[in-house]
Amino acid sequence: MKRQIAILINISIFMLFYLPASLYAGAPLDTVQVNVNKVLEVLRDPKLKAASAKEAKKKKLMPIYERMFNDVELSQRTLVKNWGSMNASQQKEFVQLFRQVLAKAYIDKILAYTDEKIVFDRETMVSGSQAEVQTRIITSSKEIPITYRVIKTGSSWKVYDVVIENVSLVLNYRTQFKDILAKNTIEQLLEILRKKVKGQ
Amino acid sequence: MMDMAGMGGVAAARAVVEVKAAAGIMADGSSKVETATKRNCPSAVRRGEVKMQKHTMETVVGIFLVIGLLCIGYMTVNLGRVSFFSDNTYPLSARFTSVTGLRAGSSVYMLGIEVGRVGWLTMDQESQKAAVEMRIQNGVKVYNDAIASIKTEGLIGDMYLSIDPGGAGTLLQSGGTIIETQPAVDIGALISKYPLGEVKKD
Repeated sequence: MKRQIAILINISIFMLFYLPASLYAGAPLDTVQVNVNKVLEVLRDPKLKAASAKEAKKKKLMPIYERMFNDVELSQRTLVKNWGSMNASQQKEFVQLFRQVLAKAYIDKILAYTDEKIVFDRETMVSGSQAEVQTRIITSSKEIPITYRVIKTGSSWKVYDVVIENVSLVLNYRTQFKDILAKNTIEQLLEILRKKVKGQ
Repeated sequence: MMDMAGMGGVAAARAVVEVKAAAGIMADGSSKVETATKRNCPSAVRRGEVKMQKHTMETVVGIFLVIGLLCIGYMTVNLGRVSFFSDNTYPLSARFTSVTGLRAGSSVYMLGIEVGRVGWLTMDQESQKAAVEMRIQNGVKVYNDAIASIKTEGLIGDMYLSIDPGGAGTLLQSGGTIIETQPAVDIGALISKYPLGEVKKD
């Protein structure tokens, strides 16, 4: 009897430590999946199908975005060194403006969703507090690979970068901001972003 | 017709003799230069001069050869990639989902300047990633929010590794890992996936 219990304990410990990472869908993948499913719920809602319901959909999507993304991490990674030379109020304003710039850039594409299938492939831990979740959008004509990079923020995992078709969002904006800040001051950058947000 | 062929043959033979004469080779096979010296130098002095001429020629040729080799050696070291990145480098690694086109020895660029070389490529089948070990020049700072991407020179050229150093995080030490990576963008696949101009879309 004792021997059997010992074997059982050994097997449990074995399974706990040696399960290959690919079979173990952990918190990062689950978190992303939950949030993406919430987004899909809003997009598939029959009550919001009409073109006039666009604003209503946007309103519903924003809180999901706020829960899913780590805005500060995202903004910091696009500004790198320049983030350090901003004061707290500039940083706050930048985070707000950048969020709206992103919303403007991607909301139309998100709203154009029509029943595509989203498959969650795997999750890879790249460090103790960072992971990558690989997904695919399967449309009628093509497959689009999307990788969410998440970082442990407090007790939850939040997205700080989205890599679509092997192009990183953070890297894309980092390059653009670097170019802008090579010729403009931080205040001028904020002004450019303010104008961009207002002009929508 | 046979006459024409015969005349052609004679003309060709004559042309060959003329070319040979111009090159200093007489009809009997000996060279003009040799003939001249043999004819005009019965004395021992002349024979000595002939010998010296031969030696001078060889010496000159030898000197030119040595200078040429020295030049080649100098150019190899300077312009080639022999001793550029010898010992003052530190290793960094990065993992990509695909390293198509990269080879051991591919260049690593930062801000457009070559700062290192790819050491070797290994595969991690557990996480389905390709690990790249690279050697970066000492003094080049890379932070932990750096992004390493694989780019092509031009649209269809050699692949190289480009690092955006980051700056808002901590400095990566020797042996550190760049976490954010972006594999090569497959232009061909993109073009076939997203044909320019969709008729159905409004």
